[in-house]
Amino acid sequence: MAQQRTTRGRGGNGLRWIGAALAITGVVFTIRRLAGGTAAEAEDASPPVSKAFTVNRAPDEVARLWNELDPVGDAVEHVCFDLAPGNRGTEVRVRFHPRWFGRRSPARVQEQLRQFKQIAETGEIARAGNGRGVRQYGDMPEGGLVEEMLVGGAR
Amino acid sequence: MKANCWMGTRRVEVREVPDPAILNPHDAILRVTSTAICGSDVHLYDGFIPTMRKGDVLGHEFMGEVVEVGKAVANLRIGDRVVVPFPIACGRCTMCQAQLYSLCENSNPNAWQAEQLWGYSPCGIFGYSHMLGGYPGGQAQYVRVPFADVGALHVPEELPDEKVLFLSDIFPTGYMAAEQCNIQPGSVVAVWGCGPVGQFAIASAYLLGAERVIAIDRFDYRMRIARERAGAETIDYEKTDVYEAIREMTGGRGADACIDAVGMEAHAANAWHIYDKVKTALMMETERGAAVRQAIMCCRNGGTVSIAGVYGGFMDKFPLGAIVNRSLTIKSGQTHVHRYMRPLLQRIVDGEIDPSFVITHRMPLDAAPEAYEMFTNKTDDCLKVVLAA
Repeated sequence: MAQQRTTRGRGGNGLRWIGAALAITGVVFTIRRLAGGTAAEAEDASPPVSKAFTVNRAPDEVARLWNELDPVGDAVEHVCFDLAPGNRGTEVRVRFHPRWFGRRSPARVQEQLRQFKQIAETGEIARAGNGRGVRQYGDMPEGGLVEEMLVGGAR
Repeated sequence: MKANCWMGTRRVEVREVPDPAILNPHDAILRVTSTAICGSDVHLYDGFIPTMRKGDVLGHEFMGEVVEVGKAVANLRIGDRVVVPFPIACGRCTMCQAQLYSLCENSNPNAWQAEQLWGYSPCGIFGYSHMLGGYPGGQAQYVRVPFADVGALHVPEELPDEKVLFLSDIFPTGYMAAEQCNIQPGSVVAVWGCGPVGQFAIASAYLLGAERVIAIDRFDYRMRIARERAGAETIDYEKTDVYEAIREMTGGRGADACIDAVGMEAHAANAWHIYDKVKTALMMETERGAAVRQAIMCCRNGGTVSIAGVYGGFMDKFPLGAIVNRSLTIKSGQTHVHRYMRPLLQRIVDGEIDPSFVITHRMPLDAAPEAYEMFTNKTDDCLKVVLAA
């Protein structure tokens, strides 16, 4: 009986180790993805990160709105606006030196770009309004587009 | 207001929650008059969909009366009676303009979560997890409808709620499932699942010209409705070998198209069920795929498998070899409800179909917990519950 229990215990531990290894791999993968690179790359000396998205409006309109709203401020160093193939609007590409946290984190920049696209295409930023606090991960920093929209009001 | 809230696996409660408010210029607020429980709500109820939080308001099939509109909504007025599609779509992005409304690029505030799981994000959906937006749903007295100018459809006064309510989801969902089958004169279509979406898939396959529709289930009362109201021939998979039966019924060819109207919690009458139960319990797969596997195997060479059932993650033993070696076409997608609402409303107005044939239970919103239990366990011959808010 004792031997059987030990065997089962080992099997259980084995599963747990596999589970833990998968979990760690997942966490590392996610962190690397969110950060857009490794810790070493997060230094300013590291290569810049590029993020791209497409806005369903003409390049000159997108560029004008970008200058007007200044959605990411000095968090990015380079922006270009190119005509998207197939009559799909404008490809916007930004380049910046990533940081792990704050306004230059790739995840934050990505969310700001997503919200800029929302404003450019629909005139508003999607909000669930589920009564659990308006500010969520990915929201614009204070003084950003969200605040302007809120001041503007919806009614 | 009162709302039906998800409180954990197999637990919903009707609770007092804050009234919704206009948050964006394209919003409207509805006073909900009728709302329904969807088969996909059962996946939430059973805890199969990640990123649900305690207290989330459920419900994505609803209609009601407009009580407030945002400043950018020009086509709705207070007092209008409307039905609302379950996908939230902005109407302005490239996907919406291609009428792929459930792929709207601007309606999911938590798109980054969906991107982690699926690569890119689909639209936001009412009452269907935070990964799909975290929007409060319509199993409530009031609901906020984002992009109401694009989604909300006026319904004629003479049509009662129960004839038009299902334009919000299950009628278009069954219809799109059938439309994806490339139905030709003489087509034989097989439908897995005689739940509400399965019933509309059967009815829609006939509307689109199918010669025969074969429906697969194990509940007598559901198969009876499929035969008597939707016109299908039925196979009880607990009593009959489905593959052999379809092979026989189609002269050895297999079904021209197979529709999966079951989804991620499929039951099977063989060892597959135990296999999937064990693997999902150990979190080694996220769905039980017995129905879609069988649908693929029963489809004729060069045929189409149309997946209307909901899947969320990663299935084990998906028969990709059958798809590749037999030139099968797989079609799927969350329903682009907006593009079907007007034409299907016209079919209702013209008397071609009365969608209320699926309703078996009418209950007050307060009874939502009992209704969920009954619908999930398929007791009291429950096929579709409509809640009056």
